[in-house]
Amino acid sequence: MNLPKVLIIARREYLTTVRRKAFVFTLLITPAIFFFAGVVSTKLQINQAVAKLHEARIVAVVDSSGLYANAPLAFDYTPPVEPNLDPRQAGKPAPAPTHVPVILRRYPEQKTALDSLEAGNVKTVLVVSSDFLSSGRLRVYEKDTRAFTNSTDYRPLTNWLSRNLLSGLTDSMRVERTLWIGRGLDYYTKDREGHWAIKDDAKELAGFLLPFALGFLLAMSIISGGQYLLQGVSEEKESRILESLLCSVTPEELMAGKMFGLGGAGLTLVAVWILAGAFSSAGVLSFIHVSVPASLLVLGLLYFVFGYLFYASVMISIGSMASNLREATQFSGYLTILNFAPFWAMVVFINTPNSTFATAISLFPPTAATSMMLRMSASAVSGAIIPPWQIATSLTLLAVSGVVTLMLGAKLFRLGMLLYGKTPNLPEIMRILRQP
Amino acid sequence: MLQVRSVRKIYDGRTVVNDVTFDVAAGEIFALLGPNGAGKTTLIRMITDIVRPDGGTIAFGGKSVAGPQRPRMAYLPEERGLYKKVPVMDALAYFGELKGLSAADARRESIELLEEFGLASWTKKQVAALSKGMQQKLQLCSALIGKPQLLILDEPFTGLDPINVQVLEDVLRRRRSEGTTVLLSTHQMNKVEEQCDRALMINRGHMVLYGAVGEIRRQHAANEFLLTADGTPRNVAGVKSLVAENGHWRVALEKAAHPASVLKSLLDQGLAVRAFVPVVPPLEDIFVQVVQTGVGLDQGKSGPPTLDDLDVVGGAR
Repeated sequence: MNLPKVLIIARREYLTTVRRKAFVFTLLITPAIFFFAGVVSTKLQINQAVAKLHEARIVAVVDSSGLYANAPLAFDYTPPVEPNLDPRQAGKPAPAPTHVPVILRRYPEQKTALDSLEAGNVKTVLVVSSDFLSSGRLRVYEKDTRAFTNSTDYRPLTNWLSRNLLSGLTDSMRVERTLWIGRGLDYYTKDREGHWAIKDDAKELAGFLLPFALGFLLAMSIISGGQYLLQGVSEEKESRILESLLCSVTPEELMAGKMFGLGGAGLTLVAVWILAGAFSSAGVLSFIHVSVPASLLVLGLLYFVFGYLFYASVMISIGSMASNLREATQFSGYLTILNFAPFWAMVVFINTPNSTFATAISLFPPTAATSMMLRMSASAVSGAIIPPWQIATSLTLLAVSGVVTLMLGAKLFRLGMLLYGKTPNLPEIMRILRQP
Repeated sequence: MLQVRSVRKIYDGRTVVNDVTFDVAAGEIFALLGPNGAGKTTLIRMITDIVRPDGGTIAFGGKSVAGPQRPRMAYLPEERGLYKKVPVMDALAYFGELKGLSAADARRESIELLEEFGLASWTKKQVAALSKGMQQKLQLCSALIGKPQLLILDEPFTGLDPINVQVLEDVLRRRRSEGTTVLLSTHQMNKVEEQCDRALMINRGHMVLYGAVGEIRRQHAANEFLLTADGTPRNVAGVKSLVAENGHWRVALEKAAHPASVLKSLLDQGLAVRAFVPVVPPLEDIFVQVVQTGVGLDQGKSGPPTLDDLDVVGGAR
C-alpha cells in the first residue's frame, strides 16, 4: 500500500467533508441543541421551582386529626442553604437566607377548602386525616400545571407539620435537630483503593456521567465517521468517478484513505464537542475533584479505533453495494440503531453491570464499544469491577471482526463500486465475495 | 509496450473474455473495437488492474500491471464522472497528485491542461457549474494529467462539439509524438480510420480481427476498383462488371483476375487512365459484416480460438 497516496486521499476526504455546510451545521447546532435542551430547560425548571418555593403560601388547612388545633397560623419559613458546587462562588459569603411567609387558614371540611382553592382565595389545601398519627396520611391539593413537581415545594408545609406536632413535647433544640437530622450525616463507604471515605454524591454523579458522556461521544464519533464514509462512497459511486481513480490507486489505498479522512472528520466533530464541554465544565469538574482516568481514555481510544474499523468497513460495503445514497442510508440506519442500542439497556448496566446480558452485549462486536463504555460508567456508581479478561476479550473480538469486515469490505468495494444502477441480491454478493 | 497474453475472464461460469492476446507498441494509437457486450470494458478493467484475469498475463513495459510498481496509466471510462462540488482546479490537481505529482506540479500541470482545453478561465468555478461539454473536457484533462505512459480512452469523442473533437485529436497526436501509448475504444469507426494505427476487434469475448487498420480494410476489399479516365472504357478480360458512377467507373474484377493485367488491358485500349484505385470498404462495413457473420467465433470447438482462426492481418503476434 502506497502511504503517500493514502494520505492524499485522506486529506482530500477530510477537507472536503469539514468544509461542507452540513458538517459546520452539525458541529455548531448539535451542541446548541443539547445546550438548550439541557441547560436552558433545566435552568427554567429550577427558576420555576425556586420562584414557587419563595412565593408566599396561603394554605387552607383541614385538620381532621385535631393535632394542630393550637398551631400558629402564620410563620416565616427559612429554607436551608444548599451547598454551592459552583467554583466561581467559592470563598464568597453565603447569600442571605430567604424567608417564605406562610399563612394558614382553617377550614372545617374539605369541600369548602376546595371551593376556596377554586375561587383563588388560597393556593394550597392541606388535609390532615383523622388517623394521621397512626397512618401518616396527608393530602395536598393545588392547581399546579407543571409536568414535574419538586418535593421541596412542600417543605414549608412539612416543616410546619413537624414543628407543631412536637410543639410542647420537647425543647426547641431537639425540634430543630429532628427537623434537620440528616443534615449532619456523613456517609462513609470504601473507595476504589479500599479506604473508608465520605461518599461524595457529586463526584459519584460526575464519575457516572463522564463515562456515560464518553460512551455517547464514542458511539457518535463511530457512527458519524461511518456515515460520512457511507455518504462519500455512495456519492463516488453515483458520480462514476471510481474507475478513473482506480487507474492511479488501488481499491485498498482508496478505502484506507477514505477511512482515515472521514474517520478524522468524525473525530474532529466529537473532539470539538469534548473540548467545548471540557472548557465550559473544567471548573466544576476540578472543584469536585473529578478527573478522567488515563485508562478510561486509552480504552476509549482503543474502542474507537476498532469500533470505527468495524462500522466503517460495514458502511463501505453498504455504500459499494447500494445503487444510490438513499438506498445506502436505509440499510445503514439499522447499524446506527445497533450502535446506540446499548443505551436502551441503561437500567441493566446501572443495576447489574456484570450480569450475563451486560457481559454478552459488551462482547458482541457491533455493540461492544458502546456497551463496555456504559458498563464502565455503571461500575463507577456501583463499585463493581469489570473483569479485565472481559475487556481484553471484547477488544480482541471487536478487532478481529473489524479486520474480517475490512477484508470483506475491500472485496465488495473493489467490485461493487463498478455495479452501476443496480443493487446486487444476496446470492450475487456471495458470488462477489467468492471472487479471487 | 503493452503485452496482453491469453487473457481470460469468467463471470458466473460465462467466459466474457476468452484467450485474448495482443500487443500495443509505444507511441501507437490502438483501437479496441467490438459490439456492445463484447467484453471490451472487462478487458480494459483487467489492463487497468481493476479486475484480475482468471488466466493469462498483462504487462506494460515488461512489468505486470498487477505488480507493486504500477505503470503510469490513465483511464477515461465511458461511464465517467467528476467530483461536482469542488473547484475545477482542485478536482484536476487531485488526480495529478494521485498520479504521483507533487502538489505544486499537479497545479502547474493542471493550468497547462486547462489552457490547452480552453478551460483556463474556469479554474475557480465549481465543477457543477460547467456545461456538459466542458465537464467532458475536464474529464479528459483528468486522464491526461501526470503524462501517463498508457492512456486508455473509452468513447472520448462523445459529447464533444466538432471544434473540441478537433482539439482532442490534436492533443492525442501530440501525446503520441511524445511517446504516449493510446488505447482507444470507440464505435466511431471514422475516428479509428483517422487516428489509429492498428485495431483489435473482439466479439463475445473472442478476438475476431487484429491488425493494421489500413491492412484490415484492404483485406476486406471486394476486388473492386475505381477507374478515373478520359474516354469510355470497354469491357476487358477478367472484368465482371463495369459501371459508371459519379464521373468514375466502378470496375468489379473476377475472383481470379489480376488488377495489373486488367489495368494493362485498359491502357492498351488507348484509354488515358488518371487513377485506378482499389475500393476499400469503410471500417464500419467491416465491423457490421464481422459481427453479423460471426467471423472468428467457432462455437463447435471445445477450446478457445487460436490466432490462426482469426482474421489477423499484419498485426504483431
